[in-house]
Amino acid sequence: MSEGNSIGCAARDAYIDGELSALESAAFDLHVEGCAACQQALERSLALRSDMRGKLQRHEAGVALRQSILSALPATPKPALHPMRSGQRQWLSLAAAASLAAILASSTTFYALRNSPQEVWDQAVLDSHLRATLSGHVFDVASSDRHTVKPWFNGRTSVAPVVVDLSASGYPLIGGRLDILERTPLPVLVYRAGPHVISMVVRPGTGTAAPALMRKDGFALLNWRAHGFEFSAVSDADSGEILAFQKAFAAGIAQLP
Amino acid sequence: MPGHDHAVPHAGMGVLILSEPDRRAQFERLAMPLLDDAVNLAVWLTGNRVDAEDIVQESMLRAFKYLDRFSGEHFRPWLLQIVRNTAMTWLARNRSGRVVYMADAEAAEAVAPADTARAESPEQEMLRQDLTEQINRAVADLPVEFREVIILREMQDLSYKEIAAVIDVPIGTVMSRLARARKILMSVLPRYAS
Repeated sequence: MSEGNSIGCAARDAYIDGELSALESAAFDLHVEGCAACQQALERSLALRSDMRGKLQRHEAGVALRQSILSALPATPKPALHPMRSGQRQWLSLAAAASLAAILASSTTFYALRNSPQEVWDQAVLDSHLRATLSGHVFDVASSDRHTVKPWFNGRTSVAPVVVDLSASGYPLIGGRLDILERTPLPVLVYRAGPHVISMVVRPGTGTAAPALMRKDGFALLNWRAHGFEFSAVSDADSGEILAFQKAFAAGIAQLP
Repeated sequence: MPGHDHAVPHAGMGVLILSEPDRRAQFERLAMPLLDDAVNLAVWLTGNRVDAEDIVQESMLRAFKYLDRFSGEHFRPWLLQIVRNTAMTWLARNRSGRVVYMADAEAAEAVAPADTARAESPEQEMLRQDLTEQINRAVADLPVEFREVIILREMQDLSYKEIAAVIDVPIGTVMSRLARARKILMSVLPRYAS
């Protein structure tokens, strides 16, 4: 597998389903560059997949069913013997958040000492996503309306990001947040991809660059440049998903008035 | 003696003895957040909300009863396996397992919905609904062994390994069924045809 030759057309489905290792995935990317059949098939498969994820009807449990199950369970829980006072609990979660921040901060610093600017940036993007998802504070402004999200950044950061809603492609915009990456406050747009959250950091950039995918600690990270911005999207969704998201985003920008 | 319920898998070797309040707390923490997933799978397998809710109710009570058997790390596949097995038993007893797309069923029940006042021409509405309806219908029309892998992969986002555990087949079978299911979908949905 060192030459990547053993990865061919047969790996296509596994690639789309995120079942390849990072190494195999990279080998498949190489294969696709020279395989017209795979390029076409991949495009169709990704379209079908993102349409299914966005459009299949999701059925939810009603309140009645929930109640009926809970009341059918035999035992009721006893209250804890020494319930913590809420002040105490708040203090504990603050302490936890502080130590988490300390760990993240020191790992970033350490990282910065021995890695390339791109690696440091990628780590900062991933950290931002982790901070947001671990703390449950994924967005500062929750809205699927780009006309609400875009102006919210006004005056909070010097970057006015392009905002597009991609609901029609299966990636609804769910909000935006402000985060500080490499000492600069930057807008982060938040999208949903099925059960996954995608954070996309937007910073000024020049020229265009095709999406470059990398995987790190089980997360997929994608960087590309276009329209005077540099975009960095990160998610625990698989590689195929984040590539499909990028495609939908690029198409969405093209349709803006 | 628990141990003769074939719908409930053994997830590992360890056996946990839970006190009743612990068991309930554990169940509320692990299983209740997955209720929507359970309902979604059951509706897609049976095509029928009323039966799906019965199946889910039965599955959740089974999961509660046999909570000791779960000792692994991945609770969602374990619970979905119970729902799937319970639904399959129901299908074997009741019908062929052909699913009716819910929008059709609801439309058949509802007499002319009153939202015709919206400023959208029938043509526009058809165009807009077209893809969503086509896809839902195409998946609903799949034979159940293909439909279930599609739902578990695309809606529940399970890995091949997890799907293999839920439907109790080798991973190779999961892969070939997924490939076959996608091939069928692409053949009935012209927009994805080559």
